[in-house]
Amino acid sequence: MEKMTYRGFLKRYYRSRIERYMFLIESLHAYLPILESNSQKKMNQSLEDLKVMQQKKLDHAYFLTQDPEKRLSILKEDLREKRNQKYYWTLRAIKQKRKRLEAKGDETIAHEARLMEKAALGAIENKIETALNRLSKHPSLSKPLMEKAVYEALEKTLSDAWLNHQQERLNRHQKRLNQEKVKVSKKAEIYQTRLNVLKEKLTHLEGQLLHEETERLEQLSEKKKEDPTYQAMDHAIDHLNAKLRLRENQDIHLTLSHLSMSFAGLKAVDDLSFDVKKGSIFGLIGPNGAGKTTVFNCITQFYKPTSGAIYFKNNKQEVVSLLDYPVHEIIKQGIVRTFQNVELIWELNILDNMLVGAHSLYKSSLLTQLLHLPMLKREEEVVKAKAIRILDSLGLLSYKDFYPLGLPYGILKKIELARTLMTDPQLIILDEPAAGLNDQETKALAKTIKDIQKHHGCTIFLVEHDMELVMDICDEICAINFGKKIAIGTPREIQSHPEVREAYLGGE
Amino acid sequence: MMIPIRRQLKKWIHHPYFGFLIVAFIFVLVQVANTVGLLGTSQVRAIGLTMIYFIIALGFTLLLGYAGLASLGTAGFVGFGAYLLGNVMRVLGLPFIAAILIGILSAIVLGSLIGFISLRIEGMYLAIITLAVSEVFVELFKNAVSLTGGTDGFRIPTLTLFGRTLGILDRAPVYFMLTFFLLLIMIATFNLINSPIGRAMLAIKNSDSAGQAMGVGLLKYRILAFVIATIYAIIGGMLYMMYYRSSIPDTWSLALSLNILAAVIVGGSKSIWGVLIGVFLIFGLDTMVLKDIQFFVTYPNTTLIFSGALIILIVMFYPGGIIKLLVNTKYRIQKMIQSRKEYLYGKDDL
Amino acid sequence: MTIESLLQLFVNGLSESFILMLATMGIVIIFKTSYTTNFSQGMIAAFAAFVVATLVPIFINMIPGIQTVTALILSVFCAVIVAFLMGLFIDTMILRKAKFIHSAGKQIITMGLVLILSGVIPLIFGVIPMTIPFLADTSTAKVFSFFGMRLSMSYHNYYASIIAFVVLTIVFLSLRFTKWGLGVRATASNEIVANMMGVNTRLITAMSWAIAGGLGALAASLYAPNAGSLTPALMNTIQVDAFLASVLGGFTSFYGPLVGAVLLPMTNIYVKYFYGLWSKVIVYSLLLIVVLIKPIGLFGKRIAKKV
Repeated sequence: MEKMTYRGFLKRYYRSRIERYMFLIESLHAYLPILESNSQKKMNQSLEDLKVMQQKKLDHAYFLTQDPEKRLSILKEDLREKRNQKYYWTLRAIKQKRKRLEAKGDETIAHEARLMEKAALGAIENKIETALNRLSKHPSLSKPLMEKAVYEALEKTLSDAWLNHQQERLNRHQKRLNQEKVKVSKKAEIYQTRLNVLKEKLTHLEGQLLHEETERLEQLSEKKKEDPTYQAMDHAIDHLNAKLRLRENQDIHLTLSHLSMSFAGLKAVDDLSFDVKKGSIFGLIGPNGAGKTTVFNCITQFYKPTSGAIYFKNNKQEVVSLLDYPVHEIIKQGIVRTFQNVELIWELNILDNMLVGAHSLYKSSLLTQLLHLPMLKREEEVVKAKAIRILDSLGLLSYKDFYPLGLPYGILKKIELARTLMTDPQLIILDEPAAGLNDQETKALAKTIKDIQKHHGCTIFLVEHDMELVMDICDEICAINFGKKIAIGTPREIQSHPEVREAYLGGE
Repeated sequence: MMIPIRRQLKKWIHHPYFGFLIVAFIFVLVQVANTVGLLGTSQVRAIGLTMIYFIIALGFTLLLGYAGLASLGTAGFVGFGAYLLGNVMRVLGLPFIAAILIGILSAIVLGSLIGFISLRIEGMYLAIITLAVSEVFVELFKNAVSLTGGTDGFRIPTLTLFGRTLGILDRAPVYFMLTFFLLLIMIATFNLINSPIGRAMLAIKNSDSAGQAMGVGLLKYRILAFVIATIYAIIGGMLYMMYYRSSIPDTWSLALSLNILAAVIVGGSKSIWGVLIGVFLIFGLDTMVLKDIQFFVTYPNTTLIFSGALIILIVMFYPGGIIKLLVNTKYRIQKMIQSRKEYLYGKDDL
Repeated sequence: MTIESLLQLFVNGLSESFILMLATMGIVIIFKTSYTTNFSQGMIAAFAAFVVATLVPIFINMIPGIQTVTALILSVFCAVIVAFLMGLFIDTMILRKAKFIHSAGKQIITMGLVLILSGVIPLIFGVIPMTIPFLADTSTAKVFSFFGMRLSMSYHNYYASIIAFVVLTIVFLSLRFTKWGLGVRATASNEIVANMMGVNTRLITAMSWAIAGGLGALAASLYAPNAGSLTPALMNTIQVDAFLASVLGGFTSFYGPLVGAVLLPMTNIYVKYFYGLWSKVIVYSLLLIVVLIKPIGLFGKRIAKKV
């Protein structure tokens, strides 16, 4: 197995360094807009505060420019407003009480209620009047008049001060942004150069491997010519062919070669081989117990197949054998899956569920997370923004703070779909996505799947029962029964295939 | 200038760390009150002990509430920490920092071992196996007389801490160190809970297939949970030894593990504040309040009835713990106030 | 280290094994029918032991000229009934109400019961130390002659072993041949289906708790004389050992844990002979290793789960 060789180790080392640098560059760029908007918000906030304080001063100055009569009327207006605010709740209580008494239906009580309201309103009005009348003795009435010129000068000073502040803040904001941009581009440059060096080394290494594999294929073909009955050679040759096909042919994304899975002697999957084209929607159908879920679990490494090979062109454009990876590293290759019984995390709200979906993207170390260092905060912001964006694109944004418990089933399925998009996957495997949905919901689901395929450019692998959905959206379908492939082709071909009809569609 | 200052202050007050600071501050005040003479020594000792249990219980919270792993081995590890500190400081004469480092290292080793075991054995069987591990530890404590003093106990008459030599009665500096550790651990636990690691643990607790499909490695995170819980337990044990200066093997029995479990469950297995309440209810009440009532002096085990009944009631009727009860009550009071307001003032936008 | 001494060790361990088997049987029966590990098994048994210790002097005073042994047997009988009733109470009153809580919650409830009982015991029975008398005079011992070798065993242990063996056989036979036994096995394999097939699962579960209580009470009464004065923690080691025996033997069968209940004390006795103080550590570590290698137990069957 490639994993065990020195070269395999080197490949993985290079790959992890490349990943790290790519991530660093990406996060540097991703964080800039967030930084900008945060800084903008702070700036706006500060300007607003200043404005509020200045307005107060200005109002007071304006007051002083008026003659005593005008001042009195301004004071009276202010007081009236303050008193209205003061009595707002009392007035509402009175109004509410009257309404309640009226609702009782008895005419006398209602009449009394109205009288009570009138009286109360009158009393309040009296209080306000008394207070207003007392105003004529207000000290600020006798303050010296402020010249208009002085006022205008003050206005100008304040407005200049505000403009200065604004300018200063803008400069600071801009400077900070530029500093960050410069820092970012410097760092990005450094990372990029290192990245390029590593990429070169990696391509060289892969070229060597490719060369070796082609050689080995030739060797095996030779051996096969010598001894045609050696069946194991057959499979090995097919595996290598599949691998090379995947390398050379840009169209193919995933290849299964002679996949077999037995449970204690019972063959659940028997010698299954097919190619999945890149960017297509591929469907796997078959009656109950045909082995669809087993195939699925073998691809995602929840089971290790008994024999056979699975090759995949991962998100770094290299061909890997999925059998080399444990189940929790599959997502890093760019494959995500949904579950038949929606497996959301019930103890977290929807937004947090989305964040878990991006778990494999986090690069903060244990220590960073223990101390909540700024790097973690930055990562969380970036991932959160992405989650919100994805939820929004699927129309789920209003659910983001809810818990999965109690939400409608269709919504939960959509959320699980949204979760898979968090890592920008290359291949999305859907396990009976239409299970439990009615016709309308299934049509909506079909549209959603097609949208995802278009927008994100990923390949979709569908395991499904619902014939309508499958025939509607799949570009290619593979039908299996008793673990064996019985047909593969376009929906039309499958529909008219006699064996499929017999096994599944009921011999129409 | 007032507006931004007020806004900033508000932000600080609502920051979660602030609550922890207040708690630590209250604890410090307790010791100050004791030094000044306002509070009795036995009360302060009891509070100190409760703080130690709180630290241990926080580790258990991560294990049970977040990673969903049942372990009854806590007591054994705490005892291990206690005797480890005793030997490192009294026998080997190394400073406290060395003890902490050795403690953390051994916690990593022990925790990883149990973590590996947890992959082979699940659920209630794991509880039984960890129980066996704890019993092994207690046997070790009883028999390794040279290291632990056996059933007679292990004593540290004088302690050197940061250059100061402390006599047997001089507990105040250790108490302050306790408070400091408590604050650190509260902050650390809070950070972990609200980080990707905390979410990952909940993921594998709720559905290990979904977690793995999202990249959460089962082995890695289970080991992590156990290691962290063991680190807390061992630190708790070390602080115990520093504060009490002596230890006998019988302290580290199943009853202690069960009480910690009770504290976590009663308080609320996913909340730091809940565990604080739980620890005070289970451990604090009898050592502080009820101790002086005659009835409880003659029948010291009666408070266990209380703890046990609490566990059963909470599990049956309020699985979220007391903290959930408090939160719900607060919510209900808010609703009551709301409806009262609506009654008085009418329905328009309040 | 002769064959005689080795066999003597075996004989020494017999009564321990039998008593442990009683306790383990209790654990297994509850586990198979309620799918809970009953952590309070030991406490209920200890409670029963206290009942016995209180009743024996009462019987002796009440009925003049009565022999200690008869009083003991009467008291044990009463204690078994008490434990029986306690088991019933716990299942119907507490666990029944918590039916919707998953098994982890039920376990925690049993842990709460442990705490409650250990507080209640001193309240009810006071703090004066009590003991349970031996089944027979300890000054003489029964001697067997086995292929020319002399093996001795105290009369108490001898009678205890016989009693335990008889009780266990009765339980096993009723599991295999009576309607109740069939019901237990049906409920153990699938409660919902058993219910639909007409098995009164509630009654079966309640009876299982009751019987487990009785078995524990018997085990405590037989064990207590050897342990000296009674404390609530009397049965703690036996309970832990019973759990470990069940895990060792495999929870999926009825006889597996019993085999474990023999292996554990026997291994302990032999290791103690050679290594003395560290025997428990060694035995538990060995057990851990065995369980790690075969987590489902020596006789356990793996039940495959579908993803």
